[in-house]
Amino acid sequence: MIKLIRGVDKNQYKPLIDAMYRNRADVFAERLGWDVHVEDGLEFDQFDQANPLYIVSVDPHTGKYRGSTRLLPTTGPNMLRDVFSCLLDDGDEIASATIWEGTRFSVDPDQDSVRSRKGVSVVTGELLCGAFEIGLMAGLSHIVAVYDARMSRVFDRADCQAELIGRPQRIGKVMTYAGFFEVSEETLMRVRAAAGVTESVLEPDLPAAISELRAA
Amino acid sequence: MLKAIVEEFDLTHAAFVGIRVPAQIGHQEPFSYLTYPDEWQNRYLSQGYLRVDPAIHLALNSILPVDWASIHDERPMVSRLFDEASDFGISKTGLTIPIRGFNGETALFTVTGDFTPGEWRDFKKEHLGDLQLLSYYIYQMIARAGRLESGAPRLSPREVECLKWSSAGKTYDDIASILSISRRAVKLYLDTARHKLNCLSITHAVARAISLKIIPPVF
Repeated sequence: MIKLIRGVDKNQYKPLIDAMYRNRADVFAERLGWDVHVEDGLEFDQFDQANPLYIVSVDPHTGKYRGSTRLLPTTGPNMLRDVFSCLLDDGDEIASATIWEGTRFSVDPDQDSVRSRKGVSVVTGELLCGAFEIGLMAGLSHIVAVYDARMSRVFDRADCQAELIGRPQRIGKVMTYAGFFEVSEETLMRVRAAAGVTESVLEPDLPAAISELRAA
Repeated sequence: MLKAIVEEFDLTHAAFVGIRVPAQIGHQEPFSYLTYPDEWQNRYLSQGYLRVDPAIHLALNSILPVDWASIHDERPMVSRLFDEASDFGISKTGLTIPIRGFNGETALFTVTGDFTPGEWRDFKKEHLGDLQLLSYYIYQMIARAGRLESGAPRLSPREVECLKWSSAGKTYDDIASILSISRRAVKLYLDTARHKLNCLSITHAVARAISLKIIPPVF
């Protein structure tokens, strides 16, 4: 089940947010060896202060954290613009009110073993479906992402391969790509099919600010 | 221009409110462009509705648009606000779209219309993307009028050198040796470079420096 948490409401969801930061430290610092900032076992960066929208997968019965990703409008501070613009061609920028950026996609391996027929894990499938559902609700045209080869394979399995933009670069030890997804009913359907999802993954009690945006 | 938008989308009103915009164009009160009747605007201000308006408060901290139908605020002042608004011809069917600016500034664009629930659902499905684009366009027009161009951070020659060697994969000790400075000095320069570039890690700082053309790209 997907919970939506606004950056400004982080303090109201401290256990989940801390679980997210710990998961991120585990995935990005420990397992992938990326050069990210970790404090007391928690990974966070300046974009967590930019009021992102966190898409958090929780166990529907226990409410326990299982995985997360975060969304930021490309019109404001975002990683592609402020940290990874070297991936774009000279002078290129992605800044549109209908394009958001998805980053820090991470899954807790202990919570996530079941896979669909196509090999997409439950949590991964939920996070991707959730992101596209929200994109549709918000009237978005695209979601952009900065990702590595590992994530690229995840997208492949989920049948939503990103379209490359700019030029891949090796940053540190990571071959890094910038790409975008179209936000459409079609994309959502493909990801749902690959993930074995048949209905909305969003929690029934969506925050008041968005419940009415849900499509019929 | 707002009137044109109202007409084009068959709405009743549109309102653009700038809150937390760049200081040089902000005023004490958030500035606004509205199609609401003057009498309503005066009433809204004199009653201090800005402080209570749930659409504003919900949208201010969101990146998702706020549909007024989702607002379930039972406070008497809020009911009064909505009732009075409808006396002035402002329907209860509305949407407030938050706009995120370059440095995280926030502005709000509101549209209201006389729709049945079914029509409203269709309207949102069809036009939300357009409205998002429009809101941002209006924001840019206004922001451009007063925005100062922010220059790229100025890094010292040593900071640049250390970042360059770091981007080539050299360790602190390597860099210290190459530049004939102490390891601690290397760490210092990399730290201050990071701070100037507003990054929490060297990798970020390197990537940012490349994008700002402070150091050459890594291949």
